Amino acid sequence: MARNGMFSRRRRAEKVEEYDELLPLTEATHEVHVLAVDDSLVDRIVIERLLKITSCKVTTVDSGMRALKYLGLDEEESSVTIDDLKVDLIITDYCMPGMTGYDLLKKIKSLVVRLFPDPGKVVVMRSLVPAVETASGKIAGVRLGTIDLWVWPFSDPGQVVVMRSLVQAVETTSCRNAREVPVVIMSSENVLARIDRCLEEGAEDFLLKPVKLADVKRLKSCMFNEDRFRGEEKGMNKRKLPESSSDDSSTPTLSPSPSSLDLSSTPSPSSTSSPSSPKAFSSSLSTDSPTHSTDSSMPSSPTSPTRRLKMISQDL
Amino acid sequence: MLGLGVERLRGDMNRLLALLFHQGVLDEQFLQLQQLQDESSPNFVSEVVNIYFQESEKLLRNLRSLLMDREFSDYKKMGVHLNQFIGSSSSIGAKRVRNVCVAFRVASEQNNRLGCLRALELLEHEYCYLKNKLHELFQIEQQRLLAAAVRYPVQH
Repeated sequence: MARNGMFSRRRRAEKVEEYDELLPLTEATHEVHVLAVDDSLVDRIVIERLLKITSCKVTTVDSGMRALKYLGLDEEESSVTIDDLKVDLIITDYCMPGMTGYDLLKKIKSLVVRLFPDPGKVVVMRSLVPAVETASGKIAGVRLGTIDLWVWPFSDPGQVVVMRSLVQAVETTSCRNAREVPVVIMSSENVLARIDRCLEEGAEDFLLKPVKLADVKRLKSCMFNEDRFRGEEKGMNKRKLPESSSDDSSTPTLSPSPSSLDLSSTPSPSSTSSPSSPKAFSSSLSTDSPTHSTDSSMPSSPTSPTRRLKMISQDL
Repeated sequence: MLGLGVERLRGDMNRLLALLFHQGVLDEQFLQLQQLQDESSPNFVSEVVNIYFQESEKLLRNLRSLLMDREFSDYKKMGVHLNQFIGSSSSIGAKRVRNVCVAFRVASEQNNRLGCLRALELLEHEYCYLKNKLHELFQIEQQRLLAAAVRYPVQH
């Protein structure tokens, strides 16, 4: 129970230390893991290459169902512990047979977090209903930030207090909430209504196919060079400081401070809070991370991608 | 002598590429693919293109067998194949093939069987041309690499 939680955390720390020893000169901090969903084999190969070149770890699947399965979210009442959420970003084609990219987006954005009375175990449950009564007990909802909490079973008001503090504990540790995993949609059709619908549903960005290297680099630098993930903040900040020689590559080649792997420390106070609005990144397109000058050889677009798409469609 | 060969081959390659661009057979996306090729993935372009060829030939076979069927009426299914073809052609920069597919799709949306048959023939023709030219391109590239390797035996 609680022991399990601690054990797995310790194991994770050990694993990370091993990795650190084996590769002292490369960055031992978290590598961005992207799940790419596309029914076209050619496109899967291209997007995989695009992502690998920008130093992401890539998993590709050919359908929305497989994507949900990979994430462990395919069954009705499936629950997944927070540790299991394996990906930092999902990038999906829009037009796919069966479950479209839009359907997948909606499914992911409708996830809620459920706390068992088992402290230290946080689970993710898919639920589309705000409040439900069942035979075994009432379900109460608690909202903390962007996480919806469902407590099961609930019979004692005192439990809510306990749950709230547990949730606060969960929130401050470095864990990712499935609902916060950014989803990017790709489509070969430049249809404004489609773009708007996806953004409204919570898509992080909308890329027009064929996807270019500049698109992927921009995406990665906007989303992952900001202090989006609390656990990696310290590492990221330290990585930024000594490195200024990167021109085309978006990864620093040498990390002179492998000791930046300091997971037990609290998040650095100078970190910016993660942007909650879906379009926050567009304002940070060119200037926010000068040391990660990924686009120094590429023209950096002054406008946000969605604005650019709207401009293009007006020209047609 | 071999040195001259390398330069001439590079010239041949550039001329062929320029021609294909000029004819609208290829577009900028093909250059994007070349950007993804490097020492860690030195044959990326030809690998992707070969997969594109395999997928395309499957699609062409499906399209043809659909249309050859006298009882044919499943235009929706044809549309699905065409969408796939449009998508993959666009991803590798095969502009003319893609455009023919788009026109083909219009005919299929209008349930125009004759129009579809014509479009299919045109598509097969364009696809053949593309395939031949790209094979030619890859051959020149291979020869150039071999010639360069002989000229500069110790590369690194």
